[in-house]
Amino acid sequence: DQWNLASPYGDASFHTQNTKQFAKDVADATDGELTINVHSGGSLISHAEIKPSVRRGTVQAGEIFLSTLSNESPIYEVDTLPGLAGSYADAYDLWQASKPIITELFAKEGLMPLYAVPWPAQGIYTDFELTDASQFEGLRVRAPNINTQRFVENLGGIPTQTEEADIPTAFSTGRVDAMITSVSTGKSMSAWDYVSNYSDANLWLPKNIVFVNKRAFDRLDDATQKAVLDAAAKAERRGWQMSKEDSAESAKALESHGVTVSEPNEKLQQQLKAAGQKLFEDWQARAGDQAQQLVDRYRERQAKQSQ
Amino acid sequence: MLTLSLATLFTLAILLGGGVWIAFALLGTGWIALTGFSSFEVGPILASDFWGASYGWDLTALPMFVWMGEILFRSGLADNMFRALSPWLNRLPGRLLHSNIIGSGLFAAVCGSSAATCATVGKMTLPELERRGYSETQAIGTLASASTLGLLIPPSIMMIVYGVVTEQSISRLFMAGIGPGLLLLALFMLYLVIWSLTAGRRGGAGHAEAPMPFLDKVRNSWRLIPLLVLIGGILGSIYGGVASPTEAAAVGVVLSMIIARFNGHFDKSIFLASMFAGLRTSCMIAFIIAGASFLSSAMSFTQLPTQLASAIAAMGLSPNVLLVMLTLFLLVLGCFLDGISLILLVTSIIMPLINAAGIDPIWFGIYLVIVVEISQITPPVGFNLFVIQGLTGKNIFTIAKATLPFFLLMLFAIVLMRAFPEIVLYLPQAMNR
Amino acid sequence: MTFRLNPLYRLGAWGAAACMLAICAMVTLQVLLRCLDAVLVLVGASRLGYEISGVSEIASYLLVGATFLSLAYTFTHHAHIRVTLVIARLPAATRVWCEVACLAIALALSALLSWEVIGLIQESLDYGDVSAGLMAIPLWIPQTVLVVGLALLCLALLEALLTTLKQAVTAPSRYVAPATTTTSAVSDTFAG
Ligand code: NA
Ligand code: NA
Repeated sequence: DQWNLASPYGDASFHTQNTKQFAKDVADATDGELTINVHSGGSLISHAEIKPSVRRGTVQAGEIFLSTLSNESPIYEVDTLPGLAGSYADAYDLWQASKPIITELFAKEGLMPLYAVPWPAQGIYTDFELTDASQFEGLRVRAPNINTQRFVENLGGIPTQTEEADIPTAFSTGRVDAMITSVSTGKSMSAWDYVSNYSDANLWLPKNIVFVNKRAFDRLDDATQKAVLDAAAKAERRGWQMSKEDSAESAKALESHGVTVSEPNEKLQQQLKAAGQKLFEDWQARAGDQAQQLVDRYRERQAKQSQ
Repeated sequence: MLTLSLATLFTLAILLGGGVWIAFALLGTGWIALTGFSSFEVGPILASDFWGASYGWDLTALPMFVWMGEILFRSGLADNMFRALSPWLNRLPGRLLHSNIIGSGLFAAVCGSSAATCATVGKMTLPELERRGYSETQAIGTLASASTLGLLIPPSIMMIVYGVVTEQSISRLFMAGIGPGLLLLALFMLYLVIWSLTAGRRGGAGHAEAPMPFLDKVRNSWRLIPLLVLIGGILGSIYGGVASPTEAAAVGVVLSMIIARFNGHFDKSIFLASMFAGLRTSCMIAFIIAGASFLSSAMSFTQLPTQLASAIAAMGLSPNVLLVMLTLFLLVLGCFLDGISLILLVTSIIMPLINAAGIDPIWFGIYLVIVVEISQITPPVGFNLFVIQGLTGKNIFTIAKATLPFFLLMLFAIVLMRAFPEIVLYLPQAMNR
Repeated sequence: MTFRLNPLYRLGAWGAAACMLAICAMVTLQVLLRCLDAVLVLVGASRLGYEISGVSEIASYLLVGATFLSLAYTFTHHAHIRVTLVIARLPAATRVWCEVACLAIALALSALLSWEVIGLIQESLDYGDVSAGLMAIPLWIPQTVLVVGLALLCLALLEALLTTLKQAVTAPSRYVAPATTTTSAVSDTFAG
């Protein structure tokens, strides 16, 4: 068989490198019985159309930024809630806790998740040193999704919608003063061209998810299915490791280009936490029972880990 | 691979030659390529791709700029510009034909799309040039080619696409486009001067008007003010931080209405006429964009461009030969694919080669943008040709013929850029702190 | 060529015009608010910070109406472009059949396209697909607008096909091809 996998991310991204390695692992394990063509950079299908296309079976597999699905169910917001899981260990627990529900949601559309890999933790880019939340007053912060928008509002800032492509012009002309994203994205968009400081606030770790059309998967024989699942498990482990490495490298790259990378001070940390807590409570109210179960499972896992 | 290429070419030739509307010819060709040469179910791809190409924020700038062009044309502001410019350009061989080039260069600084630049500038210049008896071939040729600068002079949609997929700094790409943009403007104007002194002497290069005293020229120039205010206003809104390049298009519409109200003529009938004419043009272009997007998508589903690119990758060529081969390959591909697809499809196979050959990725981005510019004026799928056919009723092949000298000049610019990479890299390197 | 359903196509064009005006108005308002903020900062006051959320998202989908609701209207004004280099040289009796073929191909493709987009709408409704941005716009709405535009085009193509076919059967040698009009030539017939 030959599968097509559509991804919106370019070849330079570690996500794409990981996914390409996954495809190679599958081909090796099945002796070429199943080959997966990875179409990166949105070259086959644009980001918004990837999930519908996999659903329809136009392509068998796809990779998307999980929280773009936030409008479909509040569950998908879980990895964009500031303060809930800010380290790789926490994010992993959160993913394990949310996996059953997300698998269920995907199954309703005839889809099956294969693996998810996080982006490095989100922090705050500014062109001044961020020391106190009061600095957010009147600050125009790029807010690409609902939770970032609410978070910025809770902090007293003005959330602004800026298309990714418009970021450089928006910064250089003062339509945007700050943005919240990862070191990795900051590096790939050469953030040093327009900001001077990065506050490594470890707000949340959003994930990419790789998934398949369930019918296409069911058509494979047992051995091939197993090979795919094994390669996926391996890709998940590798991906999390790659994300950690990319995080360290990107932070170094930012610093070497003159961006000051610092951890937020105690006070700012508390302020960010408070703003995040409010968001978390709103989310729980909105998302209902399923969310409560998810959070309970997550806390349970964390409790076990710390024992 | 060969059968597929030939079948695609053949279908497109039959449909286009047979007089099928261009958007339908593209849709039909994509359909045949997919049903005949892939195992994909065509219907869903057709629907989702057509849908995917029909909405989008960046795209909203197109109808706005087209509308703006219609307002400028109908309110007499364009005519004013020509009357003010013509005494100044009286001594310069080529005279008002330069207005296409200068106008495109200016407008390119405001607009990131080549089709919108072409439609807006062309709406102002073509009727005026025709009325004044300039060579139609040169008027069309300069307009079609110079308006592709919309992609090279920042802001530029193509650079953004390239920057995002290859993770290059978009602001550096923008800086890098300025040098080559000015180079192309200079080359085009130089060509026009030489043409007017040679072939143009037989006619079509405009007539010398009665010389005007300098003071009168200056006094006459107030007519230019409204347009300068417009361009200044649009640029100001972008660089003053109140509008994104996409939003600036709507600013342009409102500003041109205000200016037309005070400095030309503007009333309800002009408002409606310009709006509906703008609708027709942008509908025509948007329909073709969606058709071209489906054809591009069909091609990428059949893997044809990827296989061709891999074939080049497998040759193990030296950097210069690689660039020559790549240019030929992209020129052929550019006849059929739209610019964004061209960039997306090839970067993932080509970039490793470029890095291995030690070619600067910023330089390569600018090179790609120029190749995409060229693809806008090569038939059968060339958006500037479509826009000009919409403006003049001339056939796309006739229009393409008129652009031939400029096509060659653009290739020459690439050669110059290869010989003197500083043309591209000086400004972005000066940005390094 | 006269189109009996012209009022319908014009209605479509007015719909498109409304979408285009809406895009222009929303964006202008947003820019004006930013100008106001800039002035406030200049005089030392603090920003109001009104951002109309989702302008870009709404505008992206209004664009579907702005461009595709006028498909039929654009067709009846012969503003969709084509290459007539070859067929213009054919004798009227041959040309008329060529036109019939072109119209038939165009009609078949638009019908197919409409049908497939209807399938897309069905799917959007089934899965409750919404846009990914802040506004969560249900996708069936702009998709329906797209189908309406395509359906109007189908009607216009059908009308043209029937008229041309009748001519081809009754008096092919007296066929006169619709003049190639340019967008400027039909400048003042916006209402027609
Ligand atoms: Na431009
Ligand atoms: Na072309």
